Order: sequence, then C-alpha cells, then structure tokens
Amino acid sequence: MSAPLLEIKDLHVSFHEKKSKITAVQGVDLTIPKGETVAVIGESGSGKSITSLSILGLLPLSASIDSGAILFKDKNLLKVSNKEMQYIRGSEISMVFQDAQASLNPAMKVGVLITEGLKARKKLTRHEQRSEALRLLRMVGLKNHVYDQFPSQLSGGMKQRVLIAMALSGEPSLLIADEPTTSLDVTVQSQILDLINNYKIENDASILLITHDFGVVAEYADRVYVMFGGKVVEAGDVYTLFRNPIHPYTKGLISSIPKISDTEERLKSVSDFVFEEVGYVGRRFAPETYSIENKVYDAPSELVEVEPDHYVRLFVEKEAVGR
Amino acid sequence: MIKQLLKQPQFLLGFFIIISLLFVSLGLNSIYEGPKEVKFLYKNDGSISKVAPFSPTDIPPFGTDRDGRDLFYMILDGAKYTLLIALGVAFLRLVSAVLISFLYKGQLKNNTFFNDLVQSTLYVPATIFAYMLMIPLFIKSTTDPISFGKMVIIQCIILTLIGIPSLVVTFSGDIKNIMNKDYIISTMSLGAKKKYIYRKHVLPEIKPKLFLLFAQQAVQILILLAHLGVLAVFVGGSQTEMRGDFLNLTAENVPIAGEWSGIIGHSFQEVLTAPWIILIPLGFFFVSIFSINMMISGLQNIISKNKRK
Amino acid sequence: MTSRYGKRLRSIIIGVIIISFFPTLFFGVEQQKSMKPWEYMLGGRAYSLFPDIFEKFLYSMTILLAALLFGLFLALTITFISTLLPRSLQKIIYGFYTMLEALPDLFIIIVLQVSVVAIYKKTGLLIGNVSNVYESKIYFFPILTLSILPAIQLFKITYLLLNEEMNKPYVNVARSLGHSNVYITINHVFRNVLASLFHYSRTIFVFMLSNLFILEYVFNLHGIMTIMLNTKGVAFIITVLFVAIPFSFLFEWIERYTQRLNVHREEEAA
Repeated sequence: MSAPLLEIKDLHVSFHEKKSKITAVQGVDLTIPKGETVAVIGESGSGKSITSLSILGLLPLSASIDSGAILFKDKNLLKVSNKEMQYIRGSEISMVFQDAQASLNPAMKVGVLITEGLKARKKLTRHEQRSEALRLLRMVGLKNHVYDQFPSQLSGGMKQRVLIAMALSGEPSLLIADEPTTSLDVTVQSQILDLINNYKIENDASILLITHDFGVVAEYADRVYVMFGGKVVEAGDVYTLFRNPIHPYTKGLISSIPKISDTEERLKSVSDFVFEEVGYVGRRFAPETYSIENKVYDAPSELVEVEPDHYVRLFVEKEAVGR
Repeated sequence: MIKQLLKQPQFLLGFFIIISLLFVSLGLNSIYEGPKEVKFLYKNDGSISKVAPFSPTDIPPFGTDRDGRDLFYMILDGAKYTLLIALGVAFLRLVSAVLISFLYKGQLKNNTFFNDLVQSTLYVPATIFAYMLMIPLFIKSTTDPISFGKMVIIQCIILTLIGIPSLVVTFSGDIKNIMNKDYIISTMSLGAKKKYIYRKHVLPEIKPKLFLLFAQQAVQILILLAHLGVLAVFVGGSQTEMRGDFLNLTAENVPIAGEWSGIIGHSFQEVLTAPWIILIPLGFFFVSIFSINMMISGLQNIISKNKRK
Repeated sequence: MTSRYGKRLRSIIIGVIIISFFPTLFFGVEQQKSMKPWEYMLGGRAYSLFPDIFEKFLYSMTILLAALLFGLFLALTITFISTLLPRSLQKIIYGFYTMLEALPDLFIIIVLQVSVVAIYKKTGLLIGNVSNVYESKIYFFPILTLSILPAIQLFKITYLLLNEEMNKPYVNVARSLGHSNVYITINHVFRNVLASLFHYSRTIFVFMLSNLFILEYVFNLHGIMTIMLNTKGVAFIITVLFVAIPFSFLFEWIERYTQRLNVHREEEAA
C-alpha cells in the first residue's frame, strides 16, 4: 500500500431539521492511497454520498460536521479557509455527480462549461482555452461539434462524459465519482467507468468510487469499504473481501450479484431480518447488522482487524465494554 | 383544505381584516348616523379660523373633505360597497369563466383563434376598457334616467365581462393540461364519461387555483375601481350638483354611493392642496389589497405543501 | 415564424376591432357618430391623429421601456445583494416587499407627486417636474414612478426563482469545480433566472401598461395612453394597434426563445 493521499478520520456528520437531529455518518475512517481506486459501497441512506460531499465541503446547509478530520496532502480540509478550499475543489479534488441530466447548466453551451474551469485556473488565451477544451472533449470520446451545443442536445451518456471532462479539466489528483453510472444505460456504464479508470492510470490519480453495485466494484476497485447505517461495516482489499466476506451485509451484497452459472430461479436479495451469530477466532460476535432489533443496532461495536488488512465491524464483548 | 387554511396565520390575519372592515361597515348605519358636516372651525373668540377641507390634525383621525364630511366615517361607510363589489365581481368572473371554459372545451378543439383574440385585450388596459363601456352608459342616463340599482347592476356586469376572456384562456389551458395527464387517460380507458371526469377529476384539481384566482381577481378589481374613481367614473353613477358661490358657479359630478373610489374621484382636483382626502382612501385600498395578498400567500403555502406530499 | 405571427396578428386586429365596437353593441350607434375617424379629443378640442401619434407613441414607450429597464436593474441588484445577506434578514426583506407589493399604483404616484411639491414649497428645490408644463416633456419622474412597482414584483419573482435555482444540482457541480459563490450566482444562476423571467414578460407588460395609463392621466402627460382613452372607432383601433403590433412581435420572439429553453427543461424532467 502506497502513501495515503486522503485520510478520513472518525468523521461524524448530522442533519438538523427543526428540533430533531439525525446522524448520517458516525465515525467513518477511510484511507485513499495514491494511484488506487477506493470503492465505497452501500445502500441509499448509508452515508456514502454524505461522506464524499464532506470531503469537498459541499454538504447541504442543514448538515454539519460534528467531529473528525479529513487529511489531504497533510492538510485538514475541515480547517482550511474558504479560498483555499475553492482552490482545492476542481484542481486537486473534483467530483463527478450521479445525475448528469440536471448537473449541467441548461443555459450554457458545453464549451463555456468546460472552459470556465480552465479560465479560473490557468492563464490561457482564448484560443488555447478552446483547444484545451477540445482536447478534453476528445479525451472523453466526444466530437468537436459538441463544443458549440447546449446540454439539451446531448444524450445522457454524452452529458456524463461532458461532466467528466469538466471534472478532469483541472487535472485533479483525486476524483470522486458519486454513482457516475446509475442514470445511464448498461451499455454506456462500462465506457464511462473505463474512461475514469484510464485517467487514473495515465495520471497516477486516485479515485473514490461511490456505488451500490458490487459488479462495478469487482471490476474497478482496489480497496472496498462497505457502509451501512452511517458506519463502515467491513473494509479491505477487494480480493480478500470477495474471497472471504464476513459481515452478513457484505455477504448479502455479494450473493445478490446474479451469476450466469447459477441455476437457481430466484435471485438472492438482502433480507432485512437476517441476524447471524457466528463465532470467529474465539471471539463472540454478532456483526452489527441491518436488524430491526434496536438492542442489537445500538450495541457498541468496533472495527476489528480479523486478518491482515481486513476489517469487520463486530460487537464488542461485554467484558470489553466494562473495561 | 379549509381546515388547513385556518391554521395559516397569514390567511387568518388577512381574512380577519377584510371581514371586520365589512362587518363594521355594514353595522355602522344602524347604530350611528354619522357626524355632522363641519364646514368651518372657529377660534375661541368666535371668528372663523379654518375652512374645510380639514387635515387629519384638525379633525382626527382622518380629517374631512371639502364639504366638511368626516373622512373616517365615509371610509367605514364606503367599505361595504367597495369590498362587496370587488369580491362579488371576482366571484362572478370566476363562475362564468369556469362555466364557459367547461362548455367551450367540449365544442372547440382548436382554441388558438380565441386565445389570440383574447390577446388583443392585453394592449387595452382594463381601466380604458371599462371606461369605454361605462361612459356611454352615463351619457345615456342623462337622457333617460337609469335607477341607482339598475346602474349598479349594469356596471357590475361590465366589470365582470371585461375580466372573463383572459380567465377563460387560463382555465381552458389548465383543463387541457389536466386532461392530458396519464391518470385521466387511464380513467377514460376504463370508460368514464367526460362529464364525470370534469366533475370528479378536473374540478377538484383546479379548486385550489380557483381560490387563488378569486383573490387575485379581487385585487385587480380593487385597483380598477381606484383607477375608475380618478377618471370620475363612479359605481352607482353620479349626479350633477351646482356648487361654488354664485359668482363662479360650476357643475360637478358627485358620486351617489359612498364608495372609496368615489371619495377619490370626487376630490381628485385637490390632490395637491388636500392630499389626505385621496391618500387615505388609497391607504384603505392598500390595506384591503394587503389583506387579500396575505390570504393569497396563506393559500399558496398550502398548495405548495400539498404538492410536496 | 412569419406565417404564425401573421395569423396571430390577424386575430389581434380582429380582436381590437371587436373591442372598439363593444360600446356600440351595448348602447346603440349614436355614441359613435360624434367624432371624426382621424381625430382625438383633448380638453374639449379635437386634434388630428396623424402625425401627433408618432411622437406620443415614442414618448410613452421611452418612459415604459426606461422604467422597465430601471426596474429590472433595481430588482436584480436588490436580489443579488439580498443573496449575500443572512437567511433571517432575507426573509424580513422579502416580507417587506410583499407588503409594498400591495400598494396601489395610484398611491405611489400621488405620494411622489405630493412629496415633490411639498419639498419644493418648503425648500424651493425642484427635484423634477411632476406634470407637463406647456410642450416640454418630463422624463425623470414618470420613469422613476413607473419603475417602482415592477421593481418590487420583479424582485419577488427573481428572488423566488433564484432560491429555486440555487438548489439545482448544477450549482453543486460548479462549486465542486472550485468556483466561488458570487461567481456561480452571477454566471450560472442569474443566467437561468433571466431566462425564466421571460415567462413573466406578458404579466409585467399588462401591469405596466395599466400603470402607464394612470400615470399619464395623473401627471397630465400626453402620451399614447391618453390618446387611447380619448378616441373612438377607427382612431381607437389605430392607437391600440400602435401598441399591439410591436409588442405582440416582441412576445412572439420571447415565446420562441423560451420555448427553446423549455425543451431543455422538459427533457430534464423526463
């Protein structure tokens, strides 16, 4: 594992609505090494998108970061000034959003959308800007004439490509891809992901891939974090995790990938009522699950390294709590 | 919806102001004859110190007009006419517009011609339109007199008519939109009749908008009334009175009903010498419009809340 | 565009003719006879419609358009400034403008007129003429007066649109690319707000035309609306068409423009 580019330490994020407080992310630790793709997988509401938005400081107004640290190149992103953050956004870290349809300003031409990012960063002449934008468009597999088109004239896949071109215009060392393919056709999905992957390889950049699709993870990720209910429930190397998933939620996710070789008629799905109690290496544990039993849900738990570089969230022994 | 409305403080406040103005105005005559006209104010020694019109500081709270009539009393007395005309005409406009657009939707599929025709009314301000229609009425009434009641009714019909076309366009647009919705098509595919669809689906859907338009129309009519007052077109007509001393006798149109715009129109020539006579009725127009706007925003809150559900 | 606009124009002309005959339809023919077709009445005297109408039309339109531009400028400035303020203050400003919106146009006209005269009487300082003296034309006060109410309405509309736009995903995208909030507001959001503002052009126009009329009447300005009030029959039709033809063309153009933008919006919704 190479040196970490970004480290999230014990991040807590909560939403405030009128008088109630809803915790969205509770104590997430996450490391993104340089030149690797880290996938965060989980169902909607598991806190994966909130984690990624807090990296860029783009949380909605109703949300706030309660504690934790986000270290990027030895700087705590939660502490930097607004101006510095603005510089980091786009040129150090940028993001590809999931809803390409709505993510492009309908009143601006593609060319303007791409060059305005360049304008702010590099002092280029008008002509250089245009050729740089065209280079970016070609890089994401679009033709030159797209430069003069409005977003409404493009298909969904093309919009997502434009969005990627915009995100890459600042040559960031970390690209956050928040479900970049959910709104797209299956055939376009892999093209888009390949594009992101190529950028990673060519520029030695890191990718934070947020998804709910284990198939995508298996194909592109180096490390995986499985999130559930605002917590990381299992983390590790992608091979380890697929070879030996321990947490029942991870197991459920992996077994829900349809396999061609399977002859079963029904696809497996994650049941909300699964509650397992399995012994492991002499330690009594019930993985903190999606059980509706509050007692289990609220019981104290922690991430335990069950084998080298493979962490699973386990309930802590009673004695351990007392200690 | 009405239950929800009663929980909206904005709506309640607006509603309260309008209703209390109306009730005070309606009950005023039966308990109080009104103050006497004051034409002169005297000094302690008996000599005349001031001549009407009196400013609000001379005779609180609102002063008097040139004839020495108390403005406060006139305002309260006139409120019922003004508000009832505005609300009544708004109601009539809406009801007839809804009926017309339901009827006319059935017959005319292509309504672009009618829409375009209505567009021509965009370029003639409602005030001019109303003025054009009402002036001949007044001229006619000089030759063969029209009774007060009949006059008011004809004028209300005119005020109603000039608002209907644009409302019909609005409604038929709305109805068209609703009729194109998927659930209407699925209802039709189950064999529902058009009449049934109008009653069960379209009407409930435009109901909140009806309330909204009613309030907006009332505001428009209030402003129209104020404008007409300035043009000396009074609801209920006017009678010609001779006034001034016998050296320069002038004929003057005096409004018959004590409606607010009548107060404005009657004293409009004195706007620079006694501005309060104009500004106070206008202030009450403002209060009424503000109250109706409050009701509108209360309504809008509910509509957007229901939409979000 | 030409053929569709031609059809629409034809309907408008027919509509104006119908309107001009309404009084006759209701109250008999004899009302119309009193006037020659090419004349308008002013102060009991008849004047020829041509060529006066060109000059009056230009005068009225100068006031109308200048007031519109000034009002729009005011509205956008206030909206922009209010976005920089904290939320609670924004709400207070918005509430204040909601109250001002209820002011009848006449009220504003008269308050301004009276206060200018009062200032003049007290200090001898004439801020501007408040009525046309002889043939000299006044511009400053009519434009100022006419711009106030549209400015308030436009402020409310732009403010609401702006808040709606601010929640759209493309704003977050722009922020993720490292643009500052001010830059995003001006370059991204205002662009869309202005486009949506076109939807309200007709409403604002009708409202301002009505205001312009009462303004001309109270300030005693001799403009196109004064002529419209004081003509009948053919002269009336001509006067209305003077206003209708250029503006219907403008609306047609705006409709086309917004339709193009609407195609985007609908596609987004789908």
